[in-house]
Amino acid sequence: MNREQVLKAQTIFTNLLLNGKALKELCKSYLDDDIVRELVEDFAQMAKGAIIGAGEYYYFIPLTEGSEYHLSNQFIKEQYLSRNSANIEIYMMYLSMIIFIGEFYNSYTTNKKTRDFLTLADWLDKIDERIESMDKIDDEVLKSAERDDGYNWFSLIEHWKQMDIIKEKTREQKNSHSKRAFLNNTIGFMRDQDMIVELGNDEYDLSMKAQIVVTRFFMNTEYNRGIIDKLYNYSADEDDVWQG
Amino acid sequence: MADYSKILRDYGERIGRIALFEPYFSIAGKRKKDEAGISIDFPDLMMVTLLFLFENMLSRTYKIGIREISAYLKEVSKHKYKLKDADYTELAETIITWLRPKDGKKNKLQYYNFESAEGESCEYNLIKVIDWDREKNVQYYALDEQGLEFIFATKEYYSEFSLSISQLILRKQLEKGEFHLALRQIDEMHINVNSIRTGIKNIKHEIIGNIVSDDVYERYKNLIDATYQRLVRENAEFEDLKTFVEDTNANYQKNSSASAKDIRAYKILQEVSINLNEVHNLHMGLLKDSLDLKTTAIVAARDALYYSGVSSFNFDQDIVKKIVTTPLPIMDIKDYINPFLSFAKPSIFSPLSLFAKQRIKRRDLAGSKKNFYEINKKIESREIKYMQEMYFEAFSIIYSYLDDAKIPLESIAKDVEAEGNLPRFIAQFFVVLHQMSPVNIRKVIKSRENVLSDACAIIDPKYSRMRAIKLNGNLELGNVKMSNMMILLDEDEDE
Repeated sequence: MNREQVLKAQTIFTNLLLNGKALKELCKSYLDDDIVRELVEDFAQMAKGAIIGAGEYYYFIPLTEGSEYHLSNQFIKEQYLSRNSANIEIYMMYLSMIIFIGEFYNSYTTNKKTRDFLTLADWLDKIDERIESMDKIDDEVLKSAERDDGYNWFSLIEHWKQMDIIKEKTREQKNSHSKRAFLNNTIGFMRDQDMIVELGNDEYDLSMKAQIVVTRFFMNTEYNRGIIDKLYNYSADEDDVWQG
Repeated sequence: MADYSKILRDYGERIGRIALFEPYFSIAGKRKKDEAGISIDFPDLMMVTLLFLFENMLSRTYKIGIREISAYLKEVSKHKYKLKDADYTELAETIITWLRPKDGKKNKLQYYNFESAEGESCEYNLIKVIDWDREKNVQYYALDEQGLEFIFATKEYYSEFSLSISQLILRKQLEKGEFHLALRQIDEMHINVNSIRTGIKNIKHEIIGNIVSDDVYERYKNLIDATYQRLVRENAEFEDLKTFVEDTNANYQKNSSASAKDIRAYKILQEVSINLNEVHNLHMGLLKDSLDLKTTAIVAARDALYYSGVSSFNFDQDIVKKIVTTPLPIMDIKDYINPFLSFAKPSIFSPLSLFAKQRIKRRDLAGSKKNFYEINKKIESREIKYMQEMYFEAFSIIYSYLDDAKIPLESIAKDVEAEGNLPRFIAQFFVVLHQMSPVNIRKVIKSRENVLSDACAIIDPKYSRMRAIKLNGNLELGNVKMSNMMILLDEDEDE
């Protein structure tokens, strides 16, 4: 290892970290030079993150919420929801995103894409469908699953149903509160995060980045914590997953 | 006894080929008649559309949207059907939607695979969107890989060998002196080369996402090697063809008379030579691409290794020991340490948060109703007294603007200064009055608990009612922004 390699590694890592991504073209020595690569990987590890390559870019992905570099909830609220939104709205965004991604695969265990794009209306229907099937589960079961999983099953269902009610009661507010507007905000978020690509008016496709994140992380129970199983198995296998 | 074990080999692939024809046959179910009552044959028009897209890929025109397709459909079928332009647009839309469903799902054929003894499905897409004009909201279409396969399948050659076949045909055409056809053949080769390129690009994407083990790596390695070998073979054929064209060229120059026909043929031959060179160059680019692909595969395989936790870098060994054992000049130490120093702190979203542990929302327990504290009577009366005084002060100013039983807020707004609480109380007075309107002045004066009672006492007793109405537009009152209003005073009608 020489001085030059350390400097190169540092330049590459800084670039990755500052923007969350870097053009592969600008990271040549990461490809060619083992030492540089190892250094960059180690820097990433020390920052509790991983580096993935997708399309033209390398991306820095923080691996835990504990990472110092993780986008703060407050930032997400201010940019995509509203300043005084509750955390549950962010979680609703996340759940919607899981369902969005899920629509592109038969299951979270195969990586063959089964559609070219998804429209907002279809997406909304799917979320409705998921929520509806989970809503049939006994409240107490859901509440205890919340504690066990650290996942707001019950509150998310309530929150989603609530959005409808607000819409019905005050018609003039439906633009700011309806599910559609909410999903539009989520689309904005996914677009800014390079998770989706727009193919046409209201046609959204998963980006390379998203696809690689799915294969590398989401299919792994270590990262999905069995959340996917609960979300999708319920309707297929009505009792077991939730009771057990 | 005959060996039946291989009958079912590659069953899925065969079905996949059949699936390509599925949209062609299924669209026959669509019913529509033209103005003369003749039913429209959708499969025909779909075939025409696909050929149209193919032709445009040949000529490298990529801006083909609904408008272009419907214009072409009209062109070819105007003698057969009697339809309006709008109908053609609708036809084009129907066909495109049929090939590329509106819900974004790929077309799918379910079947039972006798080879694997499982129910399987294969997906197929004949066209794809290659561009989107956001402003005009127009999508541009081209044939997808399977669309090309479909086109090839309808003319007895397979896409894998299509380039080699094209090369063969080209040679025959050149031998026969059919230079015009040769030119067209070269255009087709252009497409072949492009579809190989797409293939290579797709494999590349797959590799990046999929190589997670040695096995998978081996499989891709074989695929890449096979592709590479094929390209080398095709390249050799190109070299041959080039020599052939050059020879033909030389022959022509030697033997030809100066007749106009020969001169024209010679010119076309020149063109053939140029175009062939162009395709050959593109093809050589593919050779390079496929070498790159090898590198990508190796890198991806290495990626996979890194992720399995191999880490040969040891901070203690590689950094600390180096600095300490051979005492380094201080400037060099700085370089070693540089990477570990902090820099501007970025924030990056982790897609993993989708599954992260969440803070569980607390729910109110059954008994915890919201309680309102009773307002202490004494405090309440003090509050009212204070408000009455403030409104009195505000209204004495407002009242001075009285003009013909009206007080427009506009005229007050012009004079009021931004400082102090006064603008706020004036504004508040209007709002409160608007809420209570209409106000019976005499009653209010008598009531001790009404916040406006002091204020109302200064109104000319000939007025019995006061109300505030909202007008159009907004205005600024000091530092308060509010909608424009006006106070109206009414005289008692009975007196």
